[in-house]
Amino acid sequence: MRRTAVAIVPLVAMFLAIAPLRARGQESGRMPSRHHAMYTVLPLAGVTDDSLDAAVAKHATLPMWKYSIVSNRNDKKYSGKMVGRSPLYHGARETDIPVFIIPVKIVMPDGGVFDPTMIDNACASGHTPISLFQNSPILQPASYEIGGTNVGTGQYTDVFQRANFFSNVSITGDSYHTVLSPVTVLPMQTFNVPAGKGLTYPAIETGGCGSIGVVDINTMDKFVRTTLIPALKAQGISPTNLPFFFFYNVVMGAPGDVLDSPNCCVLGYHAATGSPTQTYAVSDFDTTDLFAGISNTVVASHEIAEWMDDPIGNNPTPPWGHTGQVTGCQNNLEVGDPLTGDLFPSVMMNDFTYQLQELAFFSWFYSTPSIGVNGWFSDDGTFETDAGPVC
Amino acid sequence: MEFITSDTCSYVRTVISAILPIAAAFLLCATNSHAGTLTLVTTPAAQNANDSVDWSHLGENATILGASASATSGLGTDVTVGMAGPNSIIAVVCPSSPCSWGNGTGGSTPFSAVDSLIWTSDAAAGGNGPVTVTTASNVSGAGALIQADGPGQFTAKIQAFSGKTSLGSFTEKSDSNGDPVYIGVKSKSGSTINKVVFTITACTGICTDFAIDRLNLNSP
Repeated sequence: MRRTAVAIVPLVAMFLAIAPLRARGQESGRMPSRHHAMYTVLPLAGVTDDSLDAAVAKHATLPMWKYSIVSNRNDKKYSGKMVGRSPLYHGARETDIPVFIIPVKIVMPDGGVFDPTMIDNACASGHTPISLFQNSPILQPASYEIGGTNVGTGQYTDVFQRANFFSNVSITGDSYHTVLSPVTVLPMQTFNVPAGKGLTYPAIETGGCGSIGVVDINTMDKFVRTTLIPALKAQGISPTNLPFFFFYNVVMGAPGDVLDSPNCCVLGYHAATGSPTQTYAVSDFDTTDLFAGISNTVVASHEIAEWMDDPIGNNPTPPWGHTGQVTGCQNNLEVGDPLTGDLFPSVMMNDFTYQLQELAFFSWFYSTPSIGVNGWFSDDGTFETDAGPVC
Repeated sequence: MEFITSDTCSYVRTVISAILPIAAAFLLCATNSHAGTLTLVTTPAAQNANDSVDWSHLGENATILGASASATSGLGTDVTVGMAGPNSIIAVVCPSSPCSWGNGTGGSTPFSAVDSLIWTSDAAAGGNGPVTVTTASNVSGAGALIQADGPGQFTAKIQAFSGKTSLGSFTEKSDSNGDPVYIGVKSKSGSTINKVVFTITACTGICTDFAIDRLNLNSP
């Protein structure tokens, strides 16, 4: 591995205690100029594999393909599911996954308002965050060369998946794609954060661009899961598509966290719930510049790639760790976590510079040699070998 | 490769002839006009077809098909192809460009590059098999190369019909690599076949998801 592991606290106990966020005055000392970004996943629980397989076969949930591999990191067999069609099979074609973008306006109990549909001259170059996102490489196609290899034209996560299995999909030229399409932007939803569950940090306190909000992640997810998703079914949200909840400069903390708490902040997560299984993702669009290696669409690239390669949140891997946001060990196929803080080369689209996260390949988790592009183990070449001896 | 025939003709012949020789002679003819008249064909050479339907007539690579499609053979026989649902595609075999069907290890009977396959994938991650091919006029034989989408060994099946009457069916296993197999039938009774159904009965992954190459026909 070429990169040095970033020291970040383990991502544990994010959904445990029920406690209000602490008031800012309880914290002493200056805010650090850069905070550590983290991400999490809420795996599917209480649904059997057979039940999920049946839902996939009946097209009652997302199209998913199954893999099974004996990892030569520990000679054990691992099986999992990914979104789309298998890149390992003979046939290659485009699989379209409908996505619904839901801009969420967050109103903090202290009066702070974070509206992704409002023009932000200071921090978003005079655009609205939602329009920047709509025109971003997350949703719009671009051509990508990785290490001098043309891996095709597509949305960033589509191209990542091609690069991830390039030994297989390159045989069929440009045929294999997994595309977020059609993209529907739903009317903005508003979340009035309950007292004690969210705080606003003005720029003058943080040194960042504009204000940033921190909201309790349990409260946030409960609102998404029990209020927004049911309410938006009438507008098309269902287990067969991806609802993507879009925040602007709002991050999440465990109960009791403030901006400079060691466990803060979670900038996004993906989740799966129920049967037939509904997957969804939550993402900040950050322009504060308060988090190392994080800007605009980095969070979305992390979460959508992880959703694509681990939609249920429990694809097992040999234990790996001490890299990215993981200071200890982790054993799931979260392709963003090992490289949290590392950037893929920026993409200029529509006169705006978009940042994307570098992502780990399937082969990094399981085996050598790599079936990824150029024999690499991540899509910008930071990982030059697999994850090594089990953690 | 191994195959299984559904022909129970010899058993029927023995039992019936022991009971009623005159009736047996009559029944024997009837049986032979159905299952007893078919033979399994496992190579294009053995098919010795004089006619074929090239699926490229249905469109270029990645053309999306409906649940049924119509084509015409080289000798002018109209053919209707039916599948379980829409969104199968025409897949050209690699390394042609563009292509959407990787030929894998090749094996003894690989698809040929440039060939246009009917790939029975659907718009999600499932399949539209089986493939039912109905000819407007009777033929004496039909067959095609077939391969499961998933890797590894698979079992293919062909069933032939005369109208609504099944003339019999055969199955055939691929090699362990899952290379394409040729599966076809020939009638010993002349042009009695007007429908054949191609199915994958065992495979890795979803068995309704497979591809068939050009349809070879023994036209009158």
